[in-house]
Amino acid sequence: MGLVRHKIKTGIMLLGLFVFSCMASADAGAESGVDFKAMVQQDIRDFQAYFKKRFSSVEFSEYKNGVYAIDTASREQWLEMEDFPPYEFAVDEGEELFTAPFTNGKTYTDCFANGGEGVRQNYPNFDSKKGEVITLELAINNCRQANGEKPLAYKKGPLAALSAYMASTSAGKTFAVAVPNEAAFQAYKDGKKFFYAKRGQLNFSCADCHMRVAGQKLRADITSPALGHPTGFPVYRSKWEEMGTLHRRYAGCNKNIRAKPLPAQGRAYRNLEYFQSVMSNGLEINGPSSRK
Amino acid sequence: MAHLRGNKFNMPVMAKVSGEKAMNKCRLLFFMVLSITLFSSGSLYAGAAVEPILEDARTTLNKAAAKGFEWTTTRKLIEGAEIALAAGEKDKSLKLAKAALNEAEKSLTQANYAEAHWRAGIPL
Repeated sequence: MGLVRHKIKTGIMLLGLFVFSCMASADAGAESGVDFKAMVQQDIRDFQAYFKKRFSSVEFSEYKNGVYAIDTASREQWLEMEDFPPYEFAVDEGEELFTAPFTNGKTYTDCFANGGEGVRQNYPNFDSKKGEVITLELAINNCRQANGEKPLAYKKGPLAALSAYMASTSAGKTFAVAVPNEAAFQAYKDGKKFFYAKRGQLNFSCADCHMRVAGQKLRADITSPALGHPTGFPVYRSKWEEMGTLHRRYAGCNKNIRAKPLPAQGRAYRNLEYFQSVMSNGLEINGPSSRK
Repeated sequence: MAHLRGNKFNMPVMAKVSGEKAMNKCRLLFFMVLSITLFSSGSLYAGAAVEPILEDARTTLNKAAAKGFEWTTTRKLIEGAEIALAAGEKDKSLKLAKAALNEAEKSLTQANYAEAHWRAGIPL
């Protein structure tokens, strides 16, 4: 009788172990086979809905204008500045650089789809072969290096001018940045993590300034909404008195919260740009533009 | 012979008086040695302690930096401590080294916290 009981007990334990292992493997399967496309779409909906709720009177299409979408006083000043756009010189310079041949006789038009005209909305994109995010600025330097030229500095100067010209040829096209596979989803997630993680001595995240307190004053400045951040770059910034790229702005933001800036076009900032661009899908490209 | 007056144990008081004098001298000597030791070992300790603290601060800061969470202020504190140490300003150096270590530890804690809890920062 005792032996029978013992066997029954052992049988129940083994059955329990079997059920548990089945559940565990099912969980692991769910983790690897995650529906990342649905998750990204949900993120976009949630992100855009947050701003719609926060600034209910602001049209979605207005978010391409940064803080000028939500602050009337700043907008008036900005519109006056746009009468004589300070970035026009950069566009002209960029066009000259873009059409000038490399030493080998080729030009930038040989590196980009559609000869580099009207392609800004497709950047950043995920290069599955390289397994990394490619921004427009990185693609420009990749093109230079592929043609035996030295890469340009990433934050300002000729590269910002080239980027400004390429953006100007894409005006009015809408951001359509895709997350095509799981490797891309990983890069997207890294960017998302960067966006929401607090850093620096002031312990602020991107989301703290550009979601939670967007539209409110931080010292003398009103913070811009994160939705639409990348659409207008590169920008002529009055504080810089020159053009600068998005990664220059990232570095400035990081310094403001006393976090050491990471390298421009390093993987972390590229992934951040990727996440921000995906969140801004559906907005028009309006770069280059001007900012305070 | 008042000094030979007996105490309650009927022992000679003279011996007690001279014993007290000797004890007072001993006390004085003890406190002198103690104060010299305390003051001198303070600065000796400062000199000896800066390097390990600085090394700890550098290591911890590098760990935070590898995770992308270095603060802009910490490396300056380390450099300040190194300069003060080289100039023989041991107290200043110790103070800066301790501040650097404190910041480095906080930035590493911030990095580890962010790794585990970054979702808590999503205001949706």
